[in-house]
Amino acid sequence: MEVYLPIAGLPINFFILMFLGLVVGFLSGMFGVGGGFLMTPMLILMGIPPAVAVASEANHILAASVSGFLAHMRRANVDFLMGFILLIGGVFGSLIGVFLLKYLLSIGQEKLFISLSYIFILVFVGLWMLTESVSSIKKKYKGKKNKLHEHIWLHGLPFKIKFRKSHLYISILPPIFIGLLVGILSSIMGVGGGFILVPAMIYILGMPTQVVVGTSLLQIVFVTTVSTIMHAYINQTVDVVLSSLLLIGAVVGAQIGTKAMGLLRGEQIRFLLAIIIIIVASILIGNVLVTPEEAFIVETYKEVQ
Amino acid sequence: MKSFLYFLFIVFLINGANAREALLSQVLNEDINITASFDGAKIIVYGAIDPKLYNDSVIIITILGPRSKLKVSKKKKYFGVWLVSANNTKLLNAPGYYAMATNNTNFTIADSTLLKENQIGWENIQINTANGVSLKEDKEDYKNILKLFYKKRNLLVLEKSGIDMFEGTLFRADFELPGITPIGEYKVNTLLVNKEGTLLSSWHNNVKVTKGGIGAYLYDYSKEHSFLYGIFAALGAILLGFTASEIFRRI
Repeated sequence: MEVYLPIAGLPINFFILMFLGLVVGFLSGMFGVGGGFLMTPMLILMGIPPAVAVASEANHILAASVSGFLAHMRRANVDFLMGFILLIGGVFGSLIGVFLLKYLLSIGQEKLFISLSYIFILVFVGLWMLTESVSSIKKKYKGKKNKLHEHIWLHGLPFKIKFRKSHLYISILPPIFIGLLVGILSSIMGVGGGFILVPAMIYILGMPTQVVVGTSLLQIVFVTTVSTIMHAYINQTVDVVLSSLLLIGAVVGAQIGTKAMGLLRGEQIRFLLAIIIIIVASILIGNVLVTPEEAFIVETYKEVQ
Repeated sequence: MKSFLYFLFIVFLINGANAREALLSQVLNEDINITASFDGAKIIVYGAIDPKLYNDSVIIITILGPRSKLKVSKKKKYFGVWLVSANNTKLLNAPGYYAMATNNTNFTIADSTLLKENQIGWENIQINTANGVSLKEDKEDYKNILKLFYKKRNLLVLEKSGIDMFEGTLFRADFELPGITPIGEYKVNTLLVNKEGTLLSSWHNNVKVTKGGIGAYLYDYSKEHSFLYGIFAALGAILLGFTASEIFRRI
């Protein structure tokens, strides 16, 4: 059964889309990540125009992260003040990303840029997670207790405020900067940014783990809202048929994934996720290095006014 | 299908005025709607020729899709990475779809002006570049590039034996349109040409391919009210997420 995607302008198999949503949803439920960094490359590999894949994926992540955010809010695991500070940077970052994509679309290099960003981020995150999980599997028996958080120079910057929920008294500049970075990545790569935001909040800001996921979801909800609206407004690349279909599979997959998570230990989960990330990165590296099947790109164009 | 064609033939005979015509041609579906479940469609051309002309003439059907502006860019390798070259060639009026079929594989037409005038065959289609350089002078063979590109996407159909004949007078040809076929007006030309290369008769029909259903509505809305479309897309996603979380809280 084929479904016609109106904005992408092509028909795609309904069951393949469901299956993709299910698999990525399963992984996101299991690993606690949004799954955008797996979904967007998959959509691009399926032939969906990269700009449409990125923008529709932002819309899909919005829906997925709302349900996650609500669950954390009910358990009072959200630091709203920190979320708000992150958002200041995040919203600006998202706007920068949308306009950057508009520029890349106008010079026709969006596909390469999106691929290269993915390769860079996925290789970096994948290798980091791999070494981290391997060393924690090794260290498992030592049972060394960590300090609540390390105090580094970043926390000594001006404009300090008190974050009660996170038990922190730090400058607002690092959270704004992190928010900005994640906002840019979010709108040019079609990811929520949780896989960068969560480690940054733990290791750089020193936030307690239990409020990190809920607070990062708050940031993701708002940033993806902004990037959905702006992508639709500036680039007209949000395909709601695509994003809604992905969501159906993803919601079910996430529930199964959450249950499956109980069967594995934390460091084993991170090890598996690292392997998956490295596989996706290798496929993308292959795609930019291997001689393309077609030496030319033919596309319709509009006159720029 | 055969009985349907016989029925047409009877109608054709009864209509005395038409019986003197050498060629009659019609399209079965003049409006094709791309809906949410669109998986490609068919343009079906049928008609009849004067049976006396069957042995020494050929029927040629061409379909020219809507003309569109195309940009052709070359991929180049820089520092080991494949990039899209910034230099591109803009084609002003390339047809978004092209098909040609005949009923006789052995028939060759020597008269190239006839072929050119009626744009029979991919090599006889007129395509102009935006910078005024003719396609032949350019260093890249854009026509061939486009041919390969279209062939791969089933946007180019060249079938020398694509027309089926019945009883030496009725004919029918089916043309598949792929799911990515562009919207707009498709010009269907049916020609009857004799051995000497003279055009005996020709028919022109139009097929309109439109986007329909919810897909068309969404597409138009995203272009015309892009800001509101974005707001609704975001609100819809929030609502979907909320519903999903409520459903799974209860299970």
